[in-house]
Amino acid sequence: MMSEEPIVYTQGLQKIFKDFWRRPRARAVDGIDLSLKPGEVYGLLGPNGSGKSTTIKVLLGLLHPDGGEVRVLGRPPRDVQVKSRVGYLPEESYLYPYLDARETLRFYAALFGLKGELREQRIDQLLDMVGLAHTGRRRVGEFSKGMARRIGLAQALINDPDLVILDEPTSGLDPLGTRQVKDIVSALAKRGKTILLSSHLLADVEDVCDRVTILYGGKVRASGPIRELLQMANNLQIKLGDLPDEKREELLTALEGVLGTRPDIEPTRRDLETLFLEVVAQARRETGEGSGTREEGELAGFLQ
Amino acid sequence: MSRILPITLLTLRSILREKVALCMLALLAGVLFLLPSGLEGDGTLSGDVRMYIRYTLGFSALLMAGMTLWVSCASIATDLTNRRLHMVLTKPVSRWQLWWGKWLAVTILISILMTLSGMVTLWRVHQRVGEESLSEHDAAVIQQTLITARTPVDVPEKDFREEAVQEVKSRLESGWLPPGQMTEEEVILQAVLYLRTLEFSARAGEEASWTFALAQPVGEGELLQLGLAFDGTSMGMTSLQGTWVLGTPDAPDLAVIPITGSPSGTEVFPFNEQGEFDGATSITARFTLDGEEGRMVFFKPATGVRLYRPGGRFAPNLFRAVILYTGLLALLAALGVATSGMFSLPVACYVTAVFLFMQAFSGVVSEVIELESAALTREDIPAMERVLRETRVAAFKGIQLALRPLRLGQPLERVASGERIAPGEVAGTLGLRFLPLLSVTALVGGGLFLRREIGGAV
Repeated sequence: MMSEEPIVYTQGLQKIFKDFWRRPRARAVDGIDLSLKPGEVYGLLGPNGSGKSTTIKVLLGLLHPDGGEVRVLGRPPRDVQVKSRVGYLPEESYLYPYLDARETLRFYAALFGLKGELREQRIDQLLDMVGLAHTGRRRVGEFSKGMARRIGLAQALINDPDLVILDEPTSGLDPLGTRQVKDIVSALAKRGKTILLSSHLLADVEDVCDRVTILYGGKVRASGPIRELLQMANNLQIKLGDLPDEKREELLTALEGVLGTRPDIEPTRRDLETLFLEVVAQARRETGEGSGTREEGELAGFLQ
Repeated sequence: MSRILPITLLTLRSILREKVALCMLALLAGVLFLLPSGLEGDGTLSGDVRMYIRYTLGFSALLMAGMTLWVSCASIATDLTNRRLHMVLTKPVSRWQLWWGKWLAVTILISILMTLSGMVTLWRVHQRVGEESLSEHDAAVIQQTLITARTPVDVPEKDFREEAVQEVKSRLESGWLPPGQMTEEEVILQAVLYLRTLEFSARAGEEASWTFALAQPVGEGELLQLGLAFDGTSMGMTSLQGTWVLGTPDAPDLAVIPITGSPSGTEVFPFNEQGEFDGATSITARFTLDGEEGRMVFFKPATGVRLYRPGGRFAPNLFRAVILYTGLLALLAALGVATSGMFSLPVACYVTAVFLFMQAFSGVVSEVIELESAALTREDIPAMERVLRETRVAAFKGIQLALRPLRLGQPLERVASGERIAPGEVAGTLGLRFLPLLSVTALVGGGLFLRREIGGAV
């Protein structure tokens, strides 16, 4: 079996911030090894200041590494050809406030050399996908943080990238937006895209990532497939369907005989996100759309 | 180019939508429309028009330089501060393309504003002249003295060194001692400056004369002009009275121009309206200053007394100057964009302003070098002082060398004084001086920007 070249590869990556006199001020990244395979969703976790954003900026060619090796899509990260295959959503959506949503996407599309019908089609699909098709001539400077994040996400996907780097993608989004981002990430991964996701919202990462690396103080503290990392070998869970009371009692008695103690039993709960999504979906059916974002559309056609 | 254009359009859009262009237009409108209403000429139409041309072009030049400095310095620095470049530079755009895109936007903007400024000036001048019901003769005089281009007759500059050496020698022989610890070289240099000033001065009761040899004889009906730049205020004069007598070597008294009024200024006097100088190959100009003994008036050395011949129409001349000045501003924009990619907005503005300041005062640099070099000929200077002076001279020579290609002689000012700017000068300056300088600035600025890390402060 042929080994596939990693989409992102770092070996002993180091980044040291220096002061005006070139004296080391902070070792932000200290010997990080990463290897992202095609089609996987990779999570970069860590508290604030752990080196997540710095690592991402090195991968994007914004910062120069002080040591180690970095390859993105098999080439140095500052290579313009690499950049044409990468989509990036920064931790804050640094948009031009005087442009409207369509102009913003048109500008970024032009930087990728997209023109004419193809460009307009993609913009239509992306605006529809992120629920901002109705914003018209409103400038993005007037957008809420969540709306700006959505535009940020749309611009990150305009070039149909092979590698998508998302820095805190769900920050500022409501649960609907958060769910949608996770759905998009999953859908893109199914299409063979590689996603590098940095976040400190652990639930989001757990939902979508195949593998994670946990950073602290610029160093890798844990790394591996998320299932393996979360697995607790000595703690088991039995999932049961709907049981009549007498059957449940019968089962508990049998288990008590085997275990020596009567096990705890409680009904399965939905998580809050699922409940919220159901309530909002119901409300939408009853009252129609609000003034902010509208119900998101399907994944953009060109991304499917 | 396909990546440069979106950057250029975005920058222009930001200038338009963030009201920068509106502010610039408002300031320019102030200079072109409001400023002239506050100016008071000498009450004559020609005085008003001359003042309008001089002040509007002068202030437009100053304003445009300031605007170019601000917009170019903000071009990259603001995007870096707002972190918008984080998004742009992760796209397939090289930093060179970003640099050129920003520069192109600033250059397009200043070209539009400079053209607009030139067009409004031209329109206002013609409108002002058209308001008055002038006789055919007066209209022709204004047309030929103000709304025109003229070329000065070249006069070879006199070398006063030999004369100065003789003067110093004879004074030393007669027992005169130079002041302080001046060396012979310093004394000679002072004597040269003194003789040069004397050559372009006139004492009351004495006749000062100049001769202009013409390469081509005066054509039939060709209107000649005597241009004067003078100052009598240093001798305490509050008004000036005198007489210019113009002629040819064979007929020295063909025209008389009485002078009266302000003791300092720049004036142009037309002559040969009757054709009395037609066919002349040499013109003489004699000046007698009226008043008591001791009164003196100084003309600007070399350019204070000039003979002008017609050099074409005003409008093309104005636009050649606009092109030349726009070229200079484009170069300033390149420096602004370059510093903008390296420093924060205030530092970028400061660095570019220093350049602008030095460019404006590049003439002073030559004088400093001349004086410091002369002082170095002293043998009794302490070693430390000598080193400091030598360092200063070397630094100023470096500055002089760097600024040499930029010495334009202020094209808009030249047009305001009616001086013709030849098309060849425009092409030569843009092609042989500005283009190489622009390339070097882009190479250095873009190269340093290429090395800069983006988003390091985390």
